[in-house]
This record gives sequence, structure tokens and C-alpha cells, in this order.
Amino acid sequence: MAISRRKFLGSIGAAAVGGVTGALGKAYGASNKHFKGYPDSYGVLHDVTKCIGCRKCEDACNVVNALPKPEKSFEDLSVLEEKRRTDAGVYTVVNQFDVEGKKVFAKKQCNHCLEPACASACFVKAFTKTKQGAVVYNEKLCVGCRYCMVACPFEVPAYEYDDALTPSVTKCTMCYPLILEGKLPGCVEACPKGALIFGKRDDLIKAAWQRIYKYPDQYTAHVYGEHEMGGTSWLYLSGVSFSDVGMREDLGIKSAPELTAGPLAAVPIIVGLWPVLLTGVYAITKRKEKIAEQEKESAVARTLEQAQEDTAQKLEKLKAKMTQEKTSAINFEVKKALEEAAKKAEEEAGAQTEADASEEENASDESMKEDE
Amino acid sequence: MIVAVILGLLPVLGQTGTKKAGNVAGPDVIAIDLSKEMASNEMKPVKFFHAKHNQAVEGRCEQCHVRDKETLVFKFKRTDQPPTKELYHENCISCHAEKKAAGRESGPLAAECRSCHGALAEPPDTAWTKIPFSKSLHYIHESSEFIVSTAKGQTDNCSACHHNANEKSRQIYYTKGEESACVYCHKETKTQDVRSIRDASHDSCVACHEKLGSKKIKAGPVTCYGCHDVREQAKIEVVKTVPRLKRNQPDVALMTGLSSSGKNPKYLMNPVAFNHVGHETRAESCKVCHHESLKKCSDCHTPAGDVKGDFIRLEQAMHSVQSGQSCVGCHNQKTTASDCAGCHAMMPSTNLLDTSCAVCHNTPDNQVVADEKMKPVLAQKMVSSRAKTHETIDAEKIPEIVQISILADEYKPSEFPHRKVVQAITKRIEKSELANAFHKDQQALCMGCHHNSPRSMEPPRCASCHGKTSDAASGRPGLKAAYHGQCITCHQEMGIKEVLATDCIKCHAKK
Repeated sequence: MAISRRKFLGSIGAAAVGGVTGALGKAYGASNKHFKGYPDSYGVLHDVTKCIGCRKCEDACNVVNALPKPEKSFEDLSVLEEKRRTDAGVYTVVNQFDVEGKKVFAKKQCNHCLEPACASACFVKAFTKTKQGAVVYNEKLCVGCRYCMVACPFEVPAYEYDDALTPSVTKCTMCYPLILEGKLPGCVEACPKGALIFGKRDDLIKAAWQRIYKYPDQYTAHVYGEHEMGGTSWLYLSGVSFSDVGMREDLGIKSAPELTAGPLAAVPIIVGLWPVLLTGVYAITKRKEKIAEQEKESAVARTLEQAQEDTAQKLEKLKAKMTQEKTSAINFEVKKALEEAAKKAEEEAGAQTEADASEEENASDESMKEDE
Repeated sequence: MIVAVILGLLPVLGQTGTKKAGNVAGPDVIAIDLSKEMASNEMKPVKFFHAKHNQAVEGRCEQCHVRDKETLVFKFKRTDQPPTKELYHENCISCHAEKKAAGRESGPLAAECRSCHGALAEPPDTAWTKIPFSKSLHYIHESSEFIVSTAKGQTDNCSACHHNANEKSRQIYYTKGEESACVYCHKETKTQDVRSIRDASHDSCVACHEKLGSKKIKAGPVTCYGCHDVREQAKIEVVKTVPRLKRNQPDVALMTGLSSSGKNPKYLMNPVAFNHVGHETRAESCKVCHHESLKKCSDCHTPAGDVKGDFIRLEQAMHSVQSGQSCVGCHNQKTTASDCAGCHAMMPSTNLLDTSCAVCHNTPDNQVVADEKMKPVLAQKMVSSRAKTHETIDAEKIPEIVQISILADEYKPSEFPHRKVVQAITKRIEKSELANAFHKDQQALCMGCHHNSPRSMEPPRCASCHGKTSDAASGRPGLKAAYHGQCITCHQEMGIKEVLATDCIKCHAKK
């Protein structure tokens, strides 16, 4: 039996509402907490005003991560002429911006979000936000879907397109292995100008704001990364507007998971609910059919039984009637016979007595009536 | 389909239109906007090119402006009356029609409404620049033989421009010694009784220029461009040494604040002996400090704050770092000059040193001076006793070469020409009175680099405070960052020839 269109849509609606309300309740309804990252996690403060564009950080990154050597050496500052982005073999780039006739340099790499978009988009959990602050990637788990590249609001993860057999996603690791050894990330170690400071994220935010308070004329009163996309471990200070140094100012302060939690949380519920729902719909339909069948059978049986009963009753009635008729006929015959017999006896007695003649007349009248 | 294509093109066309930001109208564009005068406002304001019309009438201002007595009225075809639509339509269009009939280039005619209206959605973005009436420009007028006083018995010509106004009789009059800046009364927009600065200066300045010019006397500009175009402004003659303005202003002033009461009252803070004449030569005009009137600061900015002074207390008026009109604010702005910024750019602007107060509040005695006449005498004494130069340190006592070897690994230790740098900085500021007043002795200059430690000829080493790596908790840079930070920032701020960011061997010899 087919499901009607109305039924089908109705059931989808029911499932969706159930799923979404379930998810909302979980993500927002229960608390007003804002995830502020792992306590005592590390970060890096990049003070754009201090950067002189020497590319020592790029050089150090290349060495520490054993990346392929670029065509132009790191000493060659002509590469700053064009805007660059991170690539499979380049985890960090320094770009040059011309802001009101002044050269401003800004370094770009993975910002190590507190709640990374890449990790939330990855369905095999190839990305992990470590408690040290670094967002690290596990190529053994990666299936190469590159959802992380689409998800990242900072356009950081790159892919080894030229590796035909075992391509993986690449990005800055905040030099996680070095951090575990208690060392500084390569770029921070190499920066001659103190444009990069490594430390506890909470300390860095305080230090950043302290600089803004101390030098109000030199800084834009905003610490980029303190709240952007729910906060990032990499923080920025600038003397010009952040959009002037190629950083997005339209991201908002909600983390990617927070933005997508509702709809995404509904997905497993809807996906999980489908078999149950369809099986249920099927079962209900099946059961209905079965019940109908049973009802039909019992109805037929009942009708049959009734018919039989009726016939039997009729038969019985007929039988009874016939018996009655029979008995009444017998009785009549008996009575008649008895009367005849009695008449006969009377006739015989009259003949014998003096009033025999009158009795003979009465008797003949009666027999005549009987004949009529 | 075609519609879609056109719609698709529209934003692109719009963008190219707005992106021509360099295409700014000249300073002569005037918006003829009668929205205030007219009840219904069907049409947008008119974008009027004054210079173009001036050219068309060959400089004959009377074509559009009424001549009243000897001067022109800088309103279109009228004197005091409010402007009307009809006035503009009749006169503009009839003139355009005449020109056209004469076979000349002409403006829009009747029924070409939007050729004039609608070119302007908002006030035009013009290259109009305010003309600063500097001391030099003032002197040129003051010393002109053609500008003569209208009042009798005056030896100078101040009354030709300066006047006071009697609010009751609505008459203007002149009182010697009460001259003030025009903007004190003539504000940006007109008030009930007083013309705007725009109208007042056009009526007075341009009319006078025109009058003199018509007599073939060398006079100031009469065109929009003449005063309001940056390139034209640059052509105006500048008198380098301007004699002091004559308005009975004091040479010195004793600035005092709150005082204690009782038998022997004392100022709660040592008074400041203010060198008024010294500041006159430094400031571009009186308005730099006297922003609303030429009264004493404390007349409006009382120690406790008053509605007259917008509740800005005397202390704030003198010390606000952000304000360009306060002492500290103005001094702070001076530190951004390249001669000063090498050191000052790295100093937090918000925290004043403990020693800074005494630089100004330097009267030895804080006894209340009851006699007003004694105040300037005391102040004069203080000001004259001030040293004009700072004490220098003997060159031999300044280390000549400082070898920075503590971090050397990739390169050889840096040979820092310490004495050369100290002397170069000293030379850059030795003529600055402000620097000499605040630095007093050359040791103060040492503090530019050897900061955050007490003054000493043997300051602590950089490595005493700056560790191997930058400290996140304090934000204090590591040693390498501190060295590079100071050297490079100072070089950048003082405009010393730029070194390529990768040219390490400029300072560090290769191993």
C-alpha cells in the first residue's frame, strides 16, 4: 500500500522539528557559557606595527617544518610586491600593504581558532585543538575531502595537489612538537623585531591591551583574534584598520561550530530518524492491512455462522411446525375416531332402547355436517 | 534577457563612477540649495560652478552681484532679501538665453530642469580648503598702506577690519585693544544676529579685494581659487619674522590655581611662570590656545569647573594629553616631529614623568601673591632666570663604541657607534627651546634609549631587564627584539635613510 503525499510531507516535518528543537536545546538552551579556550593554552601575538617585512619568519618556518625550498630565496623582498597566501609548501606568508603611503607588513598563517572551523567540518576528526592551543592535523585519518579548506574563514589549509598518491592537507602547526619540548615556534624564535610574541593566550591579550592603553595614537583599539570567530590563539595588533592589512573584519564573534551546531546537530537526528520513521510508517501500514484482513475474515466467518444458524433455526421452526401439524392432525383424527366410536356406541345403545329412532336422526345430521 | 544584462551592468557602471575619487570638484563649486526657504522641495540643489561663470562674465561681478555703495553684495542679484526660486530662474535662464542668442556657449535653458538640478545628491566633495589667516597674512594686511582705518585718530589700521558689536543697539563699533579673532563671534553657521564666518569674510575680505583691485591696486584674490585652493595658497607671500601683535597682551603670566585659606595662604600647587611672548612666536595664531576668546584661561576654566568653560576644569584645560589646546597636549604633539619622535615615539604618551610637573610648576615659593601687580614681576623674574640651553656632558664621558656581543651567533658582534649617535641626536634638538626646557641636561637624552631606569652615567645593561625571549605576561620584548626595536624604530621615526629589511650586514659584520 502506497503512502499518500500528505502523509510523507507530514512525517518529514515532524522529524525536522524534532531534530532541530532537540539540537537547539542542547547547544543554546541549557547555558549562557562562552567557550574561552583551554585554560593556560598558548598563543602568539603578532604586532603588525613592529613587522618590517624581513621574511625571517618565513625562512624559519621553512626550515623547522622541512618544507621545499622556494624558487626565490627568503632574502628576496621582491616577492612582497604581490599578495600571497599559504600553500601546500608554505605555512606562513608576510604580505606588504600600502596604507596611506606607508608600507605595512602583516604575517599570515593558521590562526589556531579556539573552536576551529576546520575541525568542526572534518567528519573523520583529522583535526584536533590541543590543550596547548595548537590545531593539529592527522593525515592518517584524513580522507582528502578538503571540507576543512572550504570551512576555514581565514583560507589557510592548503592541499598537496601535486602529490598523486598520498596527498594531505597542510597548514601551520604552531610548531606543536617544539611547544611540547618547551621551545618557541620557529617564526617567533626568528623574529628580530619582537613582532611575534609567544606565551599564554590570556597574558598576550593583557599585554596587547596594555600596548593600546600606553600608545593610543599608535594602535587601533582592537585585538584581532580576541573574539573573532569565537577567538583565536593567534592574536594581532595593528596601527591601521585590520581590513587594510588583508584581514577580514566581517567574521563576527561566533565560532564556526556555534554557527553550524544547530543545523549540523539536526543532521544525525534526521539521518538516524529516517530508517526508524520509514520502518514505523511501513509497520503501521502493514499492521493496518493485517487488521483489515483479520476483520474481513472474522466478518465472513460470522456471516457464515449466522447464515447457518438462521437456516438451522428455520429448519427447527419448520420441523416444530410440521410436528405440531402432525400432532394436531393425529389428535383430530383421534378425536374424530373417538367421536365416531362414541356415536357408534350411542347408536347401538338407542337401537336397543325406545328412543332409538330420534337418536338415529341426530346422528345423520351430524354426519351430514361433517361431510360439508 | 536584455534587461538582465543591463541590470547586471548597472552596478559595475556605478562603481566605476564612484571609484574616480581623484576627480574632485574645484573649490569653486557652490550648492544652491533653497530647501530652507521653500516649503515644497521638488528639485534637488543646483551644483553651481562659480569660476566658470566668472569667466563667462569676464570678471564683471555686477552681472550677478548688486553693488551697494562701494562694495559688492555676495548674494545673487539681491541685497538682504531671502532667495527665491523665481529670482534664480528668471535671471539664470534669461542670461543663458541671451548668450545663446548671441551665438555663444550657454548654460541650460527653460525646461532643461535636470541639467542644473539633480547633479548633486549631497554637498559636493570639493577641493575647498580653509585659508589659514596666519600671523604672516595678518601682518601683510596690518602693514598695508592701502588698508586705512575708518575711525578717526587711529595710528594703525586695525579698525578697518576689527570691530565689536553692541547687542542692544545692533551697531558695530571699534575699541582699541579689544581686537579678537573673527571666529570668536562669526561661527561656522550664522546665528540670529551674527553672520557666518563664510559670509562675514566674503563680505569683508573679497569686497575689499575687489574694491582695491578695481583701483588697480595690488590686492588679495577675488576668486574662489585664489583663497581656497591649496596650490594658490602656497603662492601667497610669507613674512618670516612677523613683529609682535599689538593688543596689550602680557609678556609673562603667573598662572595660579587653588589656594589654602587662613592667615598665611598658600597655593596648593606651585604657580607656573608662563612665558606668553615666547609662546606667541611659536604658535601659528592666538586661536591655537585662545580657542573661544582672548580672555584668561582661568576666566572660563575655573579650578572646579564651570558652565562657561564647558565644565572643563583648569587642571584639565592645562594638562589634557588629547587636546591640542592644552599645554601638555600641545607639547605632546610637538614630540611627533621627526627630531623628537626617535625617542618619544617609543615612550607611552599617557604617563607623564614625575619630573615633568616641576618643569612648568617651578616657582620656588608658593605663597599667595595678593598684589596683582606683583604677579607679572615674579613671573618675569622666573622666566628670565631660565636657562636657554641644556647642560652638556663631556664628550669623553660618553662611550664611543659599544660592542653588542651578547647575542652574537650568526653574525659578528655589532659595533654600535654610541657617541656618534648621542651627538647626532643632540644636534637635532639643540635649537629647540621646548626640548631644552624639558631635557635640561644631556642626561635626559640618554633616557631615550636607557629608559625605565634612574638617570645615571652608568645605566643598567639592556640584558638586565630584557630576557632571551619576549615576555608575554609583561609584554616586555626579548633582548634581540629590544635592540632591533630601538635602533630600527628610531631610524624610521627620525627619517634616517632606510635600510633594506634583509640587509643585516649593514650593522652586523658577517662571520
